[in-house]
Amino acid sequence: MKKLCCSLLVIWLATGGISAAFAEEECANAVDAADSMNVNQKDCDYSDKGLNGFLQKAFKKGSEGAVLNTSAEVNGEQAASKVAAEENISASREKIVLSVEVEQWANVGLAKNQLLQKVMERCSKGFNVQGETYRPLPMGRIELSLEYHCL
Amino acid sequence: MKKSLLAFAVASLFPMAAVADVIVYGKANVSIQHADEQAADDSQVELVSNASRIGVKGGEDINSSLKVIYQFEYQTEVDDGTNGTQTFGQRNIYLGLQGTAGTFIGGHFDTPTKVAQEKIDLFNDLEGDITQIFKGEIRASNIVQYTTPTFGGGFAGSVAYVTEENNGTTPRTGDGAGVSASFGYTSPVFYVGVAMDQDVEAEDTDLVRLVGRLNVGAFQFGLLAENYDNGIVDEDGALVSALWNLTDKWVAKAQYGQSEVKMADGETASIGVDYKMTKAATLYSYVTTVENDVIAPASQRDDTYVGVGMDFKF
Repeated sequence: MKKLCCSLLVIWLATGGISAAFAEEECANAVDAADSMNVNQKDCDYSDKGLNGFLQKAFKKGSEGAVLNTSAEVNGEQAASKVAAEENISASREKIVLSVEVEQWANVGLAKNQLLQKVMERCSKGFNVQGETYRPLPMGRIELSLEYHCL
Repeated sequence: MKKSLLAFAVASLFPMAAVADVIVYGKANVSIQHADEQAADDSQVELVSNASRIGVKGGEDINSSLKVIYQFEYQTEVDDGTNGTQTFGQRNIYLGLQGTAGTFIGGHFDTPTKVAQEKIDLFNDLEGDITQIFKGEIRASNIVQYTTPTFGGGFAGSVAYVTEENNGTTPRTGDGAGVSASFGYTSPVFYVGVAMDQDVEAEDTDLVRLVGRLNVGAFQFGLLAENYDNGIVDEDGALVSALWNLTDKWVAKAQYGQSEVKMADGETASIGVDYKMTKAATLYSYVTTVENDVIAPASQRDDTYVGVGMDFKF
């Protein structure tokens, strides 16, 4: 019985090792990847992770990007909350969704006004709001999305 | 510093067109530990920043087969805000060229021998770090390095030339340059490497290091052996480490090393438990002892450290 148990244990350990041998190496955290000093490691995408992800979103290039209001003082406004905004352009290019994250419900009104102003900047002839979505996020934050098309 | 100001300050250093090729990263690692050290009159509780850092790395393609790469990394002391007289201390910093024939980098960074330890030091940057009893943990200044591309499924080698300049953080005595080299095979399951330093720490000082790692199921086993010869002492040391992934969140670790390389009868033992709250945030605890058999009372060690801490990577 003892020999059987030991054999099963060896087989179990070896099986785990073999499967792991063929497992693709996961991307380590950027700080660990840098610390390894391994110039041959595979390129990983950190554009949506950690501080780097935050900065990528904050300063996304292109005419539709760079909608980040991390502080009311940065934009000269006196809003009480930090907001982050991103937009998705659908394949049809007719419907556009603009989203913003707010820290608390009290700031939703101001954030919505900011989004509407952004939409007006893009739609010189006016626009039609087709949908308004509120989604809960971790830590009590709320994501507000406006779906619209320009006239 | 407000997140908004930090973002603005960092991003203002780079044109928008280059943001996509830049990776900003860092980590904060702080522990509170009870230190009972023979050299001190009383034991004390202390807050320790363990190699917390912030850095930037990236690259830019020159053509389809050549790329400029760089990294700037700085250490910051989360506990008291100063590293001696500085707010930031330099860690690995380099500029280089990467191509199909290999990678050249120059700057201030870990020697191939130091890098060869890979992941076997389970208490890296803590009191149980292998640097307590081993040598070869050198971050050299004025160093130029060539690394081969990976070949044969996982083989790679590096050779570094530490120039004759003596104005870096590594005090080097005598004349002449130093060489550090390593060669090994790496895979997620298995790693073996051999490394050597010649005249890196000082003239006529040589070091050879052999490292191995094996991952089997939920376990990882590590081994490091080292020989150090500076013409006066010719000593050896060895260390073993073991890690057990109890669950996807809990990890148990143990490490033991004996070495004459850095001090007479140097010995370190550590056990610890990690709890991974997320991929970026880990709570950890450890108990570490460091002992030696040095004659000089001021250098004697019979130290015990018990601590808990948090590591957050961003």
